[in-house]
Amino acid sequence: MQKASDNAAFDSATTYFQAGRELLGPNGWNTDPSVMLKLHSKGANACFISGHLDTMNELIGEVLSQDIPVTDKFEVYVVKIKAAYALVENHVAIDTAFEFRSKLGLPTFKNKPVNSFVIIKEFIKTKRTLGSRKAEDIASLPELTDGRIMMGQRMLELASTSCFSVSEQWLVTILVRHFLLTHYFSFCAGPANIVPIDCIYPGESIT
Amino acid sequence: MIAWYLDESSLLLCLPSILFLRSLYDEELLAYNIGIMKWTWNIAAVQQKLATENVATILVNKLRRHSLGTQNAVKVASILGAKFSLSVVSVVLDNLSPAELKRLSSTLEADNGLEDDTPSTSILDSSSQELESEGLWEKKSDDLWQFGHDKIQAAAYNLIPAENRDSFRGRIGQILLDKLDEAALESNLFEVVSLCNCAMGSISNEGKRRVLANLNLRAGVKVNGFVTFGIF
Repeated sequence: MQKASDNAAFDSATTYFQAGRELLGPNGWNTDPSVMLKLHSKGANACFISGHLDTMNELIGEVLSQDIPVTDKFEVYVVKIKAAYALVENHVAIDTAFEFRSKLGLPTFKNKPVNSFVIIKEFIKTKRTLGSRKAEDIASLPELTDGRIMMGQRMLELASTSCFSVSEQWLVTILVRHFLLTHYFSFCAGPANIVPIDCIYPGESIT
Repeated sequence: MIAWYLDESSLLLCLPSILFLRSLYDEELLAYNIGIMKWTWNIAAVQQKLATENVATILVNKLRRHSLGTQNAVKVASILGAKFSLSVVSVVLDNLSPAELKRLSSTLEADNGLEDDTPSTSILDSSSQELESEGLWEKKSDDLWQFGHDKIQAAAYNLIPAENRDSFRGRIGQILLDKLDEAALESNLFEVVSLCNCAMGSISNEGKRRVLANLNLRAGVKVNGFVTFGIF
């Protein structure tokens, strides 16, 4: 019941965003680029939730074709990944997340099968970086404020959902990398930070 | 006997039935005969009326018997919604030009020779009492009123000529946008934006289009805010 009412709300949001785009017209990208970007990005998200996938793809395509900074395209990338996951196109979701991280200039993986060696390598790297720090030390790190890193972390979070469906090893690698980056760049508020430590290091103590 | 006919024509719903009986009374087809101390009616005329009128036309005809000023107030209120603020109706009426008010009226009303020179604010005082006494709308709180039934609101809306409805809704939206302060605009954002959008095709001023586009963005974000959290 709540879900139906939420979808109806997103339907009306879709209508408002569409009206805004019609009012500005194609020239809106020149006259009001920031408003136009929000109308498209938030419109794409509303279309995704209300199930208007064709319109969602059109809006995503239009934003991606604009000559604007990649950080401005973050919202549509998020929608694109969520939609790919919803359509069980997990590899598309992973590729999209990695593509965005790469455009941000952040280290990333290639979407190919992961072997145990990679996991062990990532694990050792993380273990070294952590040193003797305890979980409390990690939790008390200052909150991350660098938008570019936050976006990159969010991409790993989103990719981890699809990785879970594709391969367990991929999931472990992504989570380890996410944890490593979290420690390196400071605490980033987000769902992946509340993943129990035991999920990342099965049977291991963090100390 | 009349109840049987009402039932036959599916009119035996509380409010429409009362309004129908009132219209019979107004047209002297139903009267109380003091001599025999009973209600009497002209059954042939009642049957004729039932055959030609449905609930909507009964209500429209009833509203048409009011002065043009009262009709305008009802029309504006019907656009504002089932519940409306009388002060907002007053603001709208005060800001509509005589030419715009004229466009609100159908040729039928013009043919009836209904004219109205009374200032709109004083119309509202008498109109609201008049309409309340007839059960067409009722007071909910200090400034909040509501139509007695959704069919009454629909009938009031139908009084506006079909070809002028969208432009009139857009004009009301524009008036509200100009006159409401920021707090009032925020609490009526969806209504104002939806009204303005009705006439967006006819807005040629680029500045106004940009303002309305921004308002649409604000309304969309506000809807999203009710059901979701940020994208981070």
